[in-house]
Amino acid sequence: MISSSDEQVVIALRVAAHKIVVPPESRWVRERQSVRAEWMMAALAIVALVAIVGALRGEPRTVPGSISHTVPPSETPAASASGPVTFDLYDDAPWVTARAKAAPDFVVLRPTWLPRTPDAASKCEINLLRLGEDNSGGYGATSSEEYHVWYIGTGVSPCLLMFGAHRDANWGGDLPNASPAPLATFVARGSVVYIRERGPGAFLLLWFENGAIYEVIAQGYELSDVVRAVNSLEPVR
Amino acid sequence: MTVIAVDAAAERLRWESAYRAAYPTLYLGLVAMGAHPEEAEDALQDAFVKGLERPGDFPTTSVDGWVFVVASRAWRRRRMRDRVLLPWKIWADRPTPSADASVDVLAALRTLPVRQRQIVVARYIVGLSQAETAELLGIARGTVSAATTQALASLRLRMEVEK
Repeated sequence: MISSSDEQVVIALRVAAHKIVVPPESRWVRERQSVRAEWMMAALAIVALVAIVGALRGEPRTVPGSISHTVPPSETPAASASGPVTFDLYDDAPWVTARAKAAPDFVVLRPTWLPRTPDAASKCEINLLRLGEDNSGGYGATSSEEYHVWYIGTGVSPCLLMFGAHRDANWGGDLPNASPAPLATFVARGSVVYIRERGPGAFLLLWFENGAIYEVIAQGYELSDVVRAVNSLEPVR
Repeated sequence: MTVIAVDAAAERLRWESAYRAAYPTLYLGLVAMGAHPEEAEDALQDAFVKGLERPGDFPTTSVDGWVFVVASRAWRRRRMRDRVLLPWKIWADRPTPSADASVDVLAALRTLPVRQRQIVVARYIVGLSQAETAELLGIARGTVSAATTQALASLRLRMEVEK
């Protein structure tokens, strides 16, 4: 059991780590040999050279046998049962603050529906609603030009939902079309929403609306639930 | 012979599937610990190859944890090798993974002793339990608990100072 102040540290760590860009999946398994394998190949080459020299000299040599390759485990770790989702959808404070800080003509979008149950494979226990206040903790700022409202899990597994937007044209303007291509797109609120996968169970959704770029980060939830949450967005008055 | 080959191919696919499922979280964990992106990629690749070659080394209860521990060791070995082989200034001046202000807490994490970093990342980014962390690192659960407490206290202090 950790204290609430330690929870804040843990949450900040998770959020900051989540912002690290994972390389494209094409680079996850490479054809190149590992360093260890390279050393093994070099050692075998030396042994072979010695054997050849020995053979040329007419001395008997033992040829090294082949390397034994057995197989890895057949099972991935068993998924744990999902925990309760206890955050309060109607916790207004961060949204009221975001609305108050954002420029009057900057539309703050709040979900009116959120997934109550994480997918069966996750261990999400989302129970903390946090407003992005500054950049030191990795939550992103909330100002007249941007806002970030986080629903963050405090359980062991990383798990979160974030709803935010930026009016700075230099922020992420190229993200929807950046390489690699988006996983998928759909239309919500009259705009094309670009879905980018950040790894299994982690998604970044982006779209342009009213001169701003809106973003949703989700981890630990089914994509269909995240899409439903996006479709439920309504302006905060 | 053919059956064995098919079984081996199927096992490789299972292993690769498990590895790919774990990859994003483990990559984040390694970079959070202080690995440069290319180092994290290489370390994970080495762990993948090692998993193919030496299946008896890892517990079946946590592939994620096994790959994390093997990859973090591979990263540390590479760090040591680079430090020996490269001129000090070049090594020290290598760019950090990101200049984004949001990684300040990660900068604080990277000031901790490597073992504390490893434990914090294993527990709170990779998502291992205290028992799994202790087993995979070959240390006592009490050591994991104490190191976690110390690490979080240090991070909390750093974050309060920065505020």
